Amino acid sequence: MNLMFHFVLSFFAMIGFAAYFSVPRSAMVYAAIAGAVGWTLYNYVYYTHHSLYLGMLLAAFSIGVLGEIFSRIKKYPATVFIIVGIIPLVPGMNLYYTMLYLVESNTAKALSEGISAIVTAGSISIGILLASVFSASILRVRKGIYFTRK
Amino acid sequence: MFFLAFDCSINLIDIVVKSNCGIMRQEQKEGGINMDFAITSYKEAQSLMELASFAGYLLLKNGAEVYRVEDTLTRICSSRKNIDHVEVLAIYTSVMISFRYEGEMITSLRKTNILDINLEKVALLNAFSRKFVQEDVSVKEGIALLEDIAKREKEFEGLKSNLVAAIGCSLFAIILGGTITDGIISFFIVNVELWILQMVSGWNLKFFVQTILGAVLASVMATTFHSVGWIHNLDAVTIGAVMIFFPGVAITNAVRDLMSGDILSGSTGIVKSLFVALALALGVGLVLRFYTMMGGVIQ
Repeated sequence: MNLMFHFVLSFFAMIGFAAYFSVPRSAMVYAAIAGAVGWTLYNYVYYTHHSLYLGMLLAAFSIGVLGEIFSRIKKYPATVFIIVGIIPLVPGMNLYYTMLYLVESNTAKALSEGISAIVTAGSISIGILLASVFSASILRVRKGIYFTRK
Repeated sequence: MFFLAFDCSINLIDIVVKSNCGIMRQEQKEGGINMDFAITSYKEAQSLMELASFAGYLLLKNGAEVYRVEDTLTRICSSRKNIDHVEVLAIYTSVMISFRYEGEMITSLRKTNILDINLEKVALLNAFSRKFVQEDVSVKEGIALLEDIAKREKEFEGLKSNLVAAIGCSLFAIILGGTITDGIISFFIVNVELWILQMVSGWNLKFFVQTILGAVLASVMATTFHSVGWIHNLDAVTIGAVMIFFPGVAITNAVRDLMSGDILSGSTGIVKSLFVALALALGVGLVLRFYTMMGGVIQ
């Protein structure tokens, strides 16, 4: 496993996808950094702990946090960075294999791929949700608002 | 740290509840935003509705999430003083808005069938809605601003956009275990396949047929190169070549919608992405079956 290899290749791939989805030129590099960090972290966690769920959760959380930080820096909405960042993680491939195995009438493999697609989509969503909750909270604590709600 | 944890939980509840209740709206009315801008005539109220549905159409078409569409439109409509009872319902293909102006209800429905993800326009629309809510922009000026945004051209259009998509796809073919030759070949395949899809885009094919066509093209080219012996890892090249069609972002957004309570748009999104995946699998599976029948060996 070569983390540097993953980081560099996915960084340039992310630049390509960011351009395809018309991310503004000044935000392209940031979106690519978020995506490359997420992909590398996922690979690291997956190869060291063999947990799909944990890897996806951590990667999506890091992409979400980076997206929130970059959205404060560049004044663009966070989803500009997040949508590009999660492209390598998203379970499109699992869904594709599910349907391919169904077409080949290999039900057992189709079921296992389908379940991992659902788990992946769920953990990415939870990771991004946690990141946006976390950033909103930090902002409020820094403003000195603890218990009161507006 | 304790405060942080406490606040996290409050915000979590806030975000989960937000989509169905009017918390954001109430906060806005009580909060510090200047609420002096008013609508003066019934006609102007109708143009405000036109503006809102146009903004919703643009947001959906350019790939914004459903909760963002609902939130933005609610803010836009309730930013004017004598507009109340604002309700917005957005799903993946349409947006419905209704509000009340001096006792009369105005309702509109706008549909879109095209999805052409353009994140620059989403960012611009976000900035526009913030400006419209906080400053005294008249409705007419607002519509003109929206038309400017709608007319903006993509930076990478046509063949250039194929090129950048192909860069991403071919690098992923290498990451997934292909050699450098595999990467170059899948770069070529993606370019040709997207080019052909652009050629036939005038036929107005439905998304299912279009996706099958793309998958068939990609795997026909991949198997051809494999039979010649130029490709080492057929799987990686095929996946790289159809990666641009994968419905991954759609299913992730759909699950997020389901978690925040938008059951309708969540389930629509999941069904749609399942069908896109089915189309991909049908196209690729058909060609692979044919290839093994003709005597090709898939390792």
